[in-house]
Amino acid sequence: MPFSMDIYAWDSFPIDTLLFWCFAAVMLISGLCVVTVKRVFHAGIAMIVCFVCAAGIYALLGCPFMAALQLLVYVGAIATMLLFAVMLTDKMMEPRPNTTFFQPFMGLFASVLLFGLLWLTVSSSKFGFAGWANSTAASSSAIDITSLSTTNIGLRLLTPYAVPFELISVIILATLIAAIALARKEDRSPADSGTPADAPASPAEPASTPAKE
Amino acid sequence: MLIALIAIYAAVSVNALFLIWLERKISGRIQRRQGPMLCGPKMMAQKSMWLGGWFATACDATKLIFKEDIIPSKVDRLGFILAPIVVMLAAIAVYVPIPWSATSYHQTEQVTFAFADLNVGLLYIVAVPSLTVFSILTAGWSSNNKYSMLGGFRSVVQMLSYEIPMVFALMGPIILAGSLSLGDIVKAQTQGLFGIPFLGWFIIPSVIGAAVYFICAIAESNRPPFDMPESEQELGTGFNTEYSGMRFAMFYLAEFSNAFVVSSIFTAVFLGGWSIPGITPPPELNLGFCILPYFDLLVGLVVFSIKAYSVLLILMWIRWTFVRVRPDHLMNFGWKFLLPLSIANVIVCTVIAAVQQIYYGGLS
Amino acid sequence: MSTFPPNPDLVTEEFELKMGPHHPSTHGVLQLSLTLDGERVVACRPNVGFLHRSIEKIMEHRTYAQGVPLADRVDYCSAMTSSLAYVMAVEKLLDLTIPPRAEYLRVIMSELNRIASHLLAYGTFTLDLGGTTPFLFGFRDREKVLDLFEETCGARLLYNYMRIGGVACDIKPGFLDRMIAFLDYWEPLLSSEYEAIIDENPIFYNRTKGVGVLSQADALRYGVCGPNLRACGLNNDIRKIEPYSVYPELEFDVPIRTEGDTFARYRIRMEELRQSARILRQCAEKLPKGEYLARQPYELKVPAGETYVRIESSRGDLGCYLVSDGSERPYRCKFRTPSFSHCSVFSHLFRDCLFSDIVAMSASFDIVLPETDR
Repeated sequence: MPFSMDIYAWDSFPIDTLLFWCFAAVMLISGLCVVTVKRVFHAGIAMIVCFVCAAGIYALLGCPFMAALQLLVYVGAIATMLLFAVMLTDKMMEPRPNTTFFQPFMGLFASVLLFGLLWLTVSSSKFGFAGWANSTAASSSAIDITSLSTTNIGLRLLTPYAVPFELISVIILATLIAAIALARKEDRSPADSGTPADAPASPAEPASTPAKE
Repeated sequence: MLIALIAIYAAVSVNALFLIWLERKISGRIQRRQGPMLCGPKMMAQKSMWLGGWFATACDATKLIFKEDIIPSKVDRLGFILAPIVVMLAAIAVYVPIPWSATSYHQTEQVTFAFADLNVGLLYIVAVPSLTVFSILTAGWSSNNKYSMLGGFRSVVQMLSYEIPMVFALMGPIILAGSLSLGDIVKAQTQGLFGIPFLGWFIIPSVIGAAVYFICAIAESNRPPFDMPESEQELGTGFNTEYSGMRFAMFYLAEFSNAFVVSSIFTAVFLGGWSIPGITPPPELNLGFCILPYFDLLVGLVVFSIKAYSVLLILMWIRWTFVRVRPDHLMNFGWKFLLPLSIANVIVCTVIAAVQQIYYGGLS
Repeated sequence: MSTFPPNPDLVTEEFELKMGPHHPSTHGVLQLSLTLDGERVVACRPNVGFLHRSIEKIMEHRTYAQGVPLADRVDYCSAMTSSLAYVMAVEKLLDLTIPPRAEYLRVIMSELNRIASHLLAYGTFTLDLGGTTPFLFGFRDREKVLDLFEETCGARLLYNYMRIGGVACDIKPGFLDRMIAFLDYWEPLLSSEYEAIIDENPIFYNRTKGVGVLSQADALRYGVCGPNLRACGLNNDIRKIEPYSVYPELEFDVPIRTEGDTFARYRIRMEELRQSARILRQCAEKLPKGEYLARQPYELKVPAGETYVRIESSRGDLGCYLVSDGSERPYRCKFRTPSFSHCSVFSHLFRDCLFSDIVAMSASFDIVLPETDR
């Protein structure tokens, strides 16, 4: 490289480690915030911060494809839709009302259950590269980057996993059609949709007669 | 590394200021505005209309920096403060994978000159602006103002709907180049199509995609005629009604910066980036290095800038000519017209890429 | 085509939005109480009165001559015509004959003011649709008309030019040449700039065609007049149906369109600009020499009686109802203003449409709020 910009001098300083701990800390704190802050809107913001940090960790793991998808799907679509729904509900500027007595316990039970399940899954599976849990993040060169490249993911999806991939597509398509069908209720012809729709609206209008004759 | 980051930030900000000046100039020329053409020292204004008027942007920036920072009492403070920061952040982050130039011809392996030539560059470029959606929505809602809220909602609906045809429009070049990296996409365009070097630019095989991307890009960067989220006449500048001073300036700078990013992406993906069509000097000529070190880099940068700013000028021309689109027309246009068109473009590009692969031995 | 009936399948909640009085698109201080269902407008109630200056009451305490500058302020975008209605009412009570030169000067100034006012209407209409360039076209050339006013009477907005019995002063030497020069410069621009930039634009076309359609019956019911009624297919131009001043001697057409939509209202104004230019050219040829102000006593006492005068102002049928008790002050002066009627039609028209249509429609009616409130 004739232009050795400092961006590429990663090895001199363990910036990966630093970034990893930053992302991890922010992710944990924002994750806690999601369940502890009083306002639902702030919880939504904390969740987005959490998602962004997850994307950062994906990038640090040498999987920028996952990081970009995390941003695109989770931050761009899911979280925004969630915030949208939160905003459309009533009185969201106020702190949320007190929860019932049993809710924290139920939440604790569910989260312990989920944590146990995740722990079992993670500890029992063997990853194809040196897991980040064993090695320090500074030796991230140990990660087999090629196995996570975009090309590889694409090839894997369309050769060994083609059938599940297509199956998931079909399921998503079915969900999409179902959602549209649910939202539309029934198909009505333009002739009878016009009159009943207008009928309740017009007498309610005080201004249908001119103000001055 | 820190220096590089600061350099990016400074470059983005200064470039945005320059763009504001340029936008003023263009509007001044189109509309015969006196301020952008004559404001400032008399000597310059008398010499040329291009020289005069630079003063206004400087004054504007100074005013915005020193203006009182007002946070209305009924706003949601966290969202209100966070939104402009995230908008600016996203606007800067998008610059990362844009390939400005490359060490080209005298080297055995081309190295793309970008802040970081990510191998998922294109995906990154469509992913990061989703932060903008989120922060505009937050800004609109936390302002606790009905106009702002409407503006925020409009922006989400618009950006989410136009993201889909935009990504499909970019699919064509991805298929043709066989890579998500912007550097690779530019390199693929230097090689020509069907053996003809002049057909290399992806605007030729993917002309529909280029048109769709251009329209979607205007919508994504909230520029007129698709500026419903901040339409002054309907919503009183929409999501940023309650903002003033530097917070407002951040939205403003981000908008201009996004306009530039969009034209840069258009240049890189459809207009061949830093390359000049038909000119691929053989590596043994060693043309650049004997004149000046980094000469190739410089030429590439200049070529890229010329292309990017030309696209930007068209954006500005459109801005000062068209009237605003109505929201429902925008939705219809996006979903019923642009989306099928962009899918058709994917099919066309696939066929072209296959023909190229079979008869001419691959594009890249 | 562009109505948006409520969707019975969706459960939504309506919310109130008070659009104005400080809002860029209400053209002054109109307040529209909107009931919105998302982007859809469910109902609209225009609230007027934020600019009430009690002009009619103040007039009762001033002499007839002092009423002229007040009458200017009834419609500050077309001050020449609103004061013309007032002085014509006084002259009708006095049974005063006006010198022919004064009549021509009045027509010249009224038509110039119609051009200025329509240019403003064009500018604000396009600005409300989001086009800043046509807006500046309109303002650029309006300035040139205002220059002509300035050299004649020293004012650019509120002229105080009409006098009972004539006009305040004669035109300056060379005025007619400058006026013709302006017309020669500006008339070609109408098609090469004004209409070229938006007329064929599909975005503009989609936003105005079939939007805010007002039927002729509804228009008459609400007292819509002027260019807005002519856009519904009815010729109500007072200059033709009840000619006043020297209009019978002048040749001009009244543009009529039948669609009654936003686009038709815009087109009518563009055609009227051409007709005004045509009238001005004829006036410049026919302008007779002589007095510009009829002789009248210093202490003007108007015989008791009442009268009603209507003229075609830039916005439509402007009426002045004047009651005199024989003293030097009017007993009652009442203006019938077109903008008030146009405001009242909003509650009928702004229903089941989109929020963005509201600004397009209200701008196409060319309301001027001081005229609504007086």
